Amino acid sequence: MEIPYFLLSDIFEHLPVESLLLCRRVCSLWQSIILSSQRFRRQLFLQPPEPNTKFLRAPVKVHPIFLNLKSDWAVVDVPITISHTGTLLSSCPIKHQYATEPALTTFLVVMPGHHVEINRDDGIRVEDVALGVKKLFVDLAGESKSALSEEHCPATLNGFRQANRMRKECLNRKFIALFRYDGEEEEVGSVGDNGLLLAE
Amino acid sequence: MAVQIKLMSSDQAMLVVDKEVAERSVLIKNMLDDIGEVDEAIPIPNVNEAVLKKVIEWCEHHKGDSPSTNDEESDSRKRSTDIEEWDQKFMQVDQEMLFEIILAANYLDIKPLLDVGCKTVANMIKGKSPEEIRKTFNIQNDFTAEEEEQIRRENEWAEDR
Repeated sequence: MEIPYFLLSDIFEHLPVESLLLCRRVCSLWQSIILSSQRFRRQLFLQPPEPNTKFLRAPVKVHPIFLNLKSDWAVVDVPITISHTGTLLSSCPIKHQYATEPALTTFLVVMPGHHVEINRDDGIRVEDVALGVKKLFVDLAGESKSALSEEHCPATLNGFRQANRMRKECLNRKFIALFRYDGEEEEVGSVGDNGLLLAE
Repeated sequence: MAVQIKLMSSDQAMLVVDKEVAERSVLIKNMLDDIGEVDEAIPIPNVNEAVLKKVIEWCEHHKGDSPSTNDEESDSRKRSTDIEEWDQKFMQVDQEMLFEIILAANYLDIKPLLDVGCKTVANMIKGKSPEEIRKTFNIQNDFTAEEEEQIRRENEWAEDR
């Protein structure tokens, strides 16, 4: 007996993002159920949170893949420019997706004594954050003169995880990632079918 | 004495249950509200005796529960795959029976049981690779190698396997 197909989305609702991503590869039915659901598309950052919002006042959402890194995330209300809302393309690789929703032009990764500011005018992507974090770890490696060499922290999610583990072992410092966003209400244009913000 | 009603399974087995227990099913509750008191057995044409007995066992155990919570209420509750111990044991059945219970819960409109069933299946998916998932549920991979590679590339950085 197969899993009743009309119950698949009820089942997927209980899955964390990593599992949902892997489920896309199981078969075309599962893939199409996930990609045709607004809820799952939003969860996977394939679609902006609220397509019809006039004001971007909602808290910034961090890309779900960063949420598994066991770091602390916090918002500071220093004004910052929101660049775009929406993802690039539905088939956009995760590393090219925006790191936050709505997309930001500045992203701050902070550790006591160290921080790295990541800037990108057209919106910070997942890979930008990973590269920024890598840079932070390289700086730390120099300071601690430990085995935290550059080749040990490739700018990938796994490298990020690995470095995070090594950091915990040799430094025992808390790692905090901060992102900032504009507390002011900002009116934005409408969102196109492709999820990109249309010019006013 | 508690009011009892009779249910007739798809394979013509008669089961007598407390009305209060049977009314965990929204379908049966609405039916009883509509028709009032009946002597005849209520036919449950989509559920066989073995499955119906399992479902009633669940309803018996949960008859004291507060009415099912609104599903809009909290995403975190929904997302969590925590299942209480009794339900976990209850769901330790073969896959065939598990799906039958979920289908019955869906048909009889017993939301909390449907939830537990879906969570149980979700737990069987969690932490598995696509190939392991296919094996577990006997699913045919109908992607071409290129198609699967394409999805894998899109998920790059987020997948561990």
